[in-house]
Amino acid sequence: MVDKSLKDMTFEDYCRTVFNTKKRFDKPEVLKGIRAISTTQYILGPSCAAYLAELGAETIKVELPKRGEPMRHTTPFNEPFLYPLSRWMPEKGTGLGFFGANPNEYFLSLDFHKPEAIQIMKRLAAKTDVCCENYRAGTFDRWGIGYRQYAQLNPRLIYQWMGGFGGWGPGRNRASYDILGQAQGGCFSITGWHKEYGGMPSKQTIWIMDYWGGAISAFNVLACLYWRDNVSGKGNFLEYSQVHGAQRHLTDFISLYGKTGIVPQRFGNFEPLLCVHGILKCGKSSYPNSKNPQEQEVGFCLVSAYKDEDFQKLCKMINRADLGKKYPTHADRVGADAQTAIYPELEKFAADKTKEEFDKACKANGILSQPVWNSKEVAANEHWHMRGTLQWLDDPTFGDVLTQGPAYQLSDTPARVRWAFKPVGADNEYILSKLCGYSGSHIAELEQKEII
Amino acid sequence: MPFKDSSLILQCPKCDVINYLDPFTFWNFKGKIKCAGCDVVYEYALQNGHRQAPPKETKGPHDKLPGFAQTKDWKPITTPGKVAAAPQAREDFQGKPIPISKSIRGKVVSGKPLTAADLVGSVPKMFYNGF
Amino acid sequence: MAEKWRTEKKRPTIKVLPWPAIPAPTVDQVYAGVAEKQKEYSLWVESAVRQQFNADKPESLDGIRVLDMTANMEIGHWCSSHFSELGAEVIMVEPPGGDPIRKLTPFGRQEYMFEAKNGEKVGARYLSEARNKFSVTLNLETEQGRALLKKIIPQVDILIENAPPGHYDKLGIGYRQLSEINPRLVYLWVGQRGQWGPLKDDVGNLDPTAQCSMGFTHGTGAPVAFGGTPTRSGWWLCDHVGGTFAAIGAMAALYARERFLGKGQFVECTAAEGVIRIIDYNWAWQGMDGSIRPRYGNWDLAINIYAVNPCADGQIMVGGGHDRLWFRIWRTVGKDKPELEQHICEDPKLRVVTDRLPHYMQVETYTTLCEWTKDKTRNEAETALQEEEVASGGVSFLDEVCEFPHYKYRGHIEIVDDLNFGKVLIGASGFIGMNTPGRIKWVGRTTGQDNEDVYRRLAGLDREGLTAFKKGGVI
Repeated sequence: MVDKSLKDMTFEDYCRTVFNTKKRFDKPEVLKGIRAISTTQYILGPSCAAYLAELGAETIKVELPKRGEPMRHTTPFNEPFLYPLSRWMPEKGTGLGFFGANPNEYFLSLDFHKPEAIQIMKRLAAKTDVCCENYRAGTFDRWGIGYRQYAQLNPRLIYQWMGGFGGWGPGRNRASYDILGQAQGGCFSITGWHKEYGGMPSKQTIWIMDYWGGAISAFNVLACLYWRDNVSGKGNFLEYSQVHGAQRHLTDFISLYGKTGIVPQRFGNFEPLLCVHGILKCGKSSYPNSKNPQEQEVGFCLVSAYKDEDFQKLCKMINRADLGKKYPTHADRVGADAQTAIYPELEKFAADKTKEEFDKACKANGILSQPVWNSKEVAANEHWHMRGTLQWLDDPTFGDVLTQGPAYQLSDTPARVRWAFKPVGADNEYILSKLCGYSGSHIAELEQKEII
Repeated sequence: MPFKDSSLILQCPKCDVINYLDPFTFWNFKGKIKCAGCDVVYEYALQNGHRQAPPKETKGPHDKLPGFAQTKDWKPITTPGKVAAAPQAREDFQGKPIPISKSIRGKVVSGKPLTAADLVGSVPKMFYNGF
Repeated sequence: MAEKWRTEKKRPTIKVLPWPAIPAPTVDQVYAGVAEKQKEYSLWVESAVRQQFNADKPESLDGIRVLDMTANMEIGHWCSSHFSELGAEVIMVEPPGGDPIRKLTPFGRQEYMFEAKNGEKVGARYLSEARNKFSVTLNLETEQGRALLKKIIPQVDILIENAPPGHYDKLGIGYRQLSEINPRLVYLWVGQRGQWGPLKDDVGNLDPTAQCSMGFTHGTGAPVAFGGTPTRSGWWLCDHVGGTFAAIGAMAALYARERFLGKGQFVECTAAEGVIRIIDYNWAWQGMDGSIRPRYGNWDLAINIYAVNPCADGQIMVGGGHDRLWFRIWRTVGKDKPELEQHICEDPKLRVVTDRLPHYMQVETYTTLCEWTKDKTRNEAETALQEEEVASGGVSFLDEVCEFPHYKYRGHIEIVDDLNFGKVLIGASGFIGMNTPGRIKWVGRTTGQDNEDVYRRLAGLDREGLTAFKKGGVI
């Protein structure tokens, strides 16, 4: 039901009001009172728990004492770190590889190899709704803290296992990482230029199979929470296999292979399905005076004119009306020969322009275009800041950091970022005293024995 | 000369400097490479990562610089003009942890090593106490 | 631009192999020689989640009704696939004549399209995300079409649309108006960059618009120093990621509705913002010292060893993010070439994990590694590394993917015997679970195939009404 005062606003004002990012903390959280344990490392598992934490779940990240999880020791080119790593190691920092996969969480350090730790895990599991885990399949079961043991304590528990190849099948013992998923699942084989163009299979630059795998797992967890609370009252055991996720993205190519036997190859920055819908090289750099090598590069710009009338406009813009006559319909343009003939002509037009100049020319002619922005240009764009997708966060531990916000907007129960992450074991006392009933001296003893 | 017969690792027969020919650039290659140690130019060819012949000393301008080079006792050579340029995120690229105390908009961020005295619990004192 | 591309006219004939060309391994083969205690857990998981038992189990979103009113975009279809795989009734509302995406086929080749029993031809891109969904047609530009939609709305839980910003609001079928009819409605808008904010008018329908506008394309591909350029993903990556986050948003709204809110809400998710959320450390790095993430080819800025490099018959991925794996990898290399292992392991510059990250250290690492992989095929390298439990695998092409024994055994790729399209090879649902697994029941519908069923069932239209609407171009 919409408030009366909202009814007469323009649509833009209405959206800015209901999605107002400054009002996020005035609204309730979807997962208030839901507790999640995240016994995860790297990105796949942590990100799943993080999406739940963004929605308000009390998420407890359990990692090894002292050094924490391996991702804390990754950072681009060994440059930026956020200090301290933990209260015990203030001279060391956490690398930015850890950033983005662990917001809003509570951090407990625990050495699973000790029997006291197993006791703590069981106490936590008894009062938890969701458990995310991504150790090698069967490891937690062997330690007595897997789904089969937890389910005895807490039949309403939703246990999400995530990992490379899954716990069964020929590859069950194989380790996996994001790019292994991309490689084995076929994602490399269709990205980049064909070798006849001097290209090679390329990776998607982000840890996409990890972050996206976490997202699809989080969706499944939400669906199971819905099913548990509204339908059955039962928990669940879920398995997500990363290499499976990779080929889920290529479903259409799999269908094509099954029908025609073709093995899709790489078509670089052009689009096999549509023409013109590709990324062009513009001849000039937008920042010729910048000292940053990233800004000295020449620009690139996407142009999208696959509809007939748009293509005619585009041909007029580059003064090649003859191309418009030669390729009047989409069927004429989209063939591989036509595409490789059309794009060089467009690049000739762009050869003496920056990406902004080319973009402006397209826009002036009513053609869709989008310059290829680097991360500085994106970070400087007001659009993302206004929508809360990017935000300057006053982090309680690390100070002023630029962080990504939740990917989606909810008008009544928005997701939000409270903090980016915390040092190793930062919430040991809070968690152990609140949820496990341990006294101060007991906690100090555990710390001394290096269990936490 | 442990890398006498290696393909992608070109150890200079003259000065023993180890030139790393990164697979990005050199997997399939034919041309002249300049040793980062003694500036001697070698004629060299690689096909699918396999060298076609031992390096042959030659003259004239080089086609490519090695991706990286070091002496046999691991002293790195990264001088511009000796090895290929590194991809850089900034002009003042360092490759080691750099102390940062202000974000790009000038506010305090905890980006440099601390001591135990700088902390209250897990939180840096400057944020715990306010500043 | 290369001249060497073979032309359309000289395309070779391709022999279509049956699938699977090599039979999937059997249970006995997979667990042959494994001790009882070791395989006990695997056998338990297998019995709990194996897809062949799916039909015996309930579906988590059974009874939820979703209207997918998106057209001309992948993100909405991808989003609604999440719901349809988990049992929701998803109805695709297409413009009369069908969603234009139906007609897209690589290079316009008609022989790559799937033909339904009624003769309609549909492209693979559309078919891959039409799983378990119904199809109706509805012209929302007509007054009668909108009236018909409003009649259905009280019975709908989630509505997904991607009209230009504010367009449906102007037509009287935006969230403001529809929530009057059904306050419990979850209304989801999806797009490339947003329906409000300074960029809202720069519309673009399809990836890679989003990829270019959020820094993905700039960061993918080889660096200039290595002769690379910005590169887009080979699939519509932002649409997929954004669609998944859109599904999380809608699912969260649905859960909130049942849990405490009692009403629906307005949800928005875009392709660009989905990937902004997950693009690693780009923003934090930019915020700390003004760094712009450079392209780094198939290597990784933040982890070493963790890369894809060439080998004798293609490319091989090797990964070892921490010390234990680092030494195992070099031990494997040292079995063939001890001088490589020795020189790397004694290098004082490479002692600490983080010290291995600067560019020149990565050049040293990977050049040394390639000195070993150049003599190995993907398979040989993979086998050697797996003996030391190191994560590695070759870059596979689609035929290898479809024939990968692990996928075949686990049912990640399956043949769906569809009522309309016959037998179609397809990537299975990613939702594997013990009690409520995802599943594929059919691959797709022809345009407007369910008009009669849906409009009779939900709007109470009779034969006369249906005919009149059909003639009037409303459905």
